[in-house]
Amino acid sequence: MSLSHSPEDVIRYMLIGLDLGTLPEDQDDWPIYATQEVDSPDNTITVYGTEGKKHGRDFVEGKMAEHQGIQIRIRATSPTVGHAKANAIAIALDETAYQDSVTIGSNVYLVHSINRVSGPLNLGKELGTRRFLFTINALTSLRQTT
Amino acid sequence: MAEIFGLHAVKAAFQKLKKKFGKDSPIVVVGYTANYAAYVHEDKEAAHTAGTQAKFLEEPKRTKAKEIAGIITTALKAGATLEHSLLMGGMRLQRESQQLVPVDVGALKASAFTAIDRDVDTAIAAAEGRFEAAKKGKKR
Repeated sequence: MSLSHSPEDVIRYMLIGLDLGTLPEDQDDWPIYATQEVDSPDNTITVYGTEGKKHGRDFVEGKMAEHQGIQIRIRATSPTVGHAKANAIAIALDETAYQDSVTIGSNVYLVHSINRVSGPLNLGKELGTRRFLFTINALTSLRQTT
Repeated sequence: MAEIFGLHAVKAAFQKLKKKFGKDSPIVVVGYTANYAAYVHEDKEAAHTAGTQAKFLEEPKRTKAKEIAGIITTALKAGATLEHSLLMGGMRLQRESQQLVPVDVGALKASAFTAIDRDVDTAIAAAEGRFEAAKKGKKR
């Protein structure tokens, strides 16, 4: 499966589409980044890629069927704020995200499903700061349509 | 963190699995008792030395799933009990995981354990002992 954007980027845009965060360029609350967390602002969401789950090759086309692994990390100034955001994302992944069409520039992706594997996990305080970390792990099935 | 990875959560997960597969089905658990294990496991931002990484348990669980299933099947075919076969699979996962664990003083690595559900309390206590011993080893 070949994608023009990484799965973490696609899920980032999907979360923005679900009003769970904003594009960093918009300088609004809860910016969502992919792959690398930034130091500021404190309340931030970052999506990382993790090991997925391979299901073998399709007999007809020879394509590898795979669920992509993602981790969503929520960093917040307080455990209450962080937990509320993490919980909202978990509920959205479980109940809202299904057959979502995600547009990034001229590319369109179809996110068939997201299965939450674990979380929200409360990791406690970030090392060296007073900010709180939460993570959610999930497996997603997506494909590029254009 | 303890709410999610604490022993009571592990036991609750066992009960759920027991309900699903029947109360006589053996369940094997592989984990780490170090209180910061979850943080290190989940922290994808941290830089680690080559060959070690975050997701040190989840990743081999996914990448080695077939291999571990093969070990269990082979053991069963060779006449081992289901419990013993699952333990062998679990031990393999633990070994694969320990190769990826970020090592500072070795305490996290030493806190790994694999146990059948009825022995989990003993296994956790032993792993905690190894963890404490490894921590003390640094101070000397």
